[in-house]
Amino acid sequence: MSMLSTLVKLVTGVEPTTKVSVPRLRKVTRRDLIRMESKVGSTVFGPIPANHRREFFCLDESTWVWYEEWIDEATGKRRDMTTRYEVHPHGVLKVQDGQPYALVEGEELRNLAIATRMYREQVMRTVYHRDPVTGQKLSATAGTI
Amino acid sequence: MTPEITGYRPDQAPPSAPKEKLVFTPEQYPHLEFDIRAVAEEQGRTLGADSPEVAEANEAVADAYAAVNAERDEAATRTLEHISTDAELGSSVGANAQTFAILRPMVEQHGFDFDSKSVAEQQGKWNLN
Repeated sequence: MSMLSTLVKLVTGVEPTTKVSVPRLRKVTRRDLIRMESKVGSTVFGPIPANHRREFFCLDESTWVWYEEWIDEATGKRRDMTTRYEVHPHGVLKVQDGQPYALVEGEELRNLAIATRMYREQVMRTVYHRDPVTGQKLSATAGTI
Repeated sequence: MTPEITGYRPDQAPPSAPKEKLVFTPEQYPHLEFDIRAVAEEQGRTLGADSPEVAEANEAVADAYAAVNAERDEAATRTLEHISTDAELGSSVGANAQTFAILRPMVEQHGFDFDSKSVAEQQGKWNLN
């Protein structure tokens, strides 16, 4: 397993849960938040195939991470792939294990932009309970729905 | 070259609005949950929390939230339609990441109920477009 994959597991936790839950008995940490965000983020690209585990989350102010783990049907072995999208002043770089850095362009960049927009839209509402545009707390008024 | 994953290529999979009830459940919107038990009480009836009527009402509310949120997702996606250059798209990707770089420390420090004014002060940093 690559170092990056290990890092992803360290940040997001090994056992996926089926519910976005907020830890109540202790202070919420950045790692908790990333794990909760990733639970929502993993659904942004549609249904997750059987025998797959997916994480998609914002790592920090300039990095998005896609992690996919699956069973290779041909060999029966577990495989994984980590894609890191780094935002730089001159563009977005895609970094994958064993692959040269590549500037993300065109349709792929558009897909990524939409995915991050969806992530923001959904994570802000479901994890932070905030309006995605204003950042204001969602209130108990009829106007919130 | 991006490795292909059993029919899924992460860099090409079309983003779509998930409509799973897992994400949009009444439990996540407790202040908006339709309280059918209160309505029944007004009608002189008593409903248990595990009654089929309550479950049915909760499911209907979840469906309504899912529909509303799906519309919001689509609207949010449409806002990208006018963006045509890679520079603008890259900027959008960065701005969305900035949002969480701002939010996380606030939650770590103050919990989820931090003062909205703090967010308002940061709004200039996370405006999209």
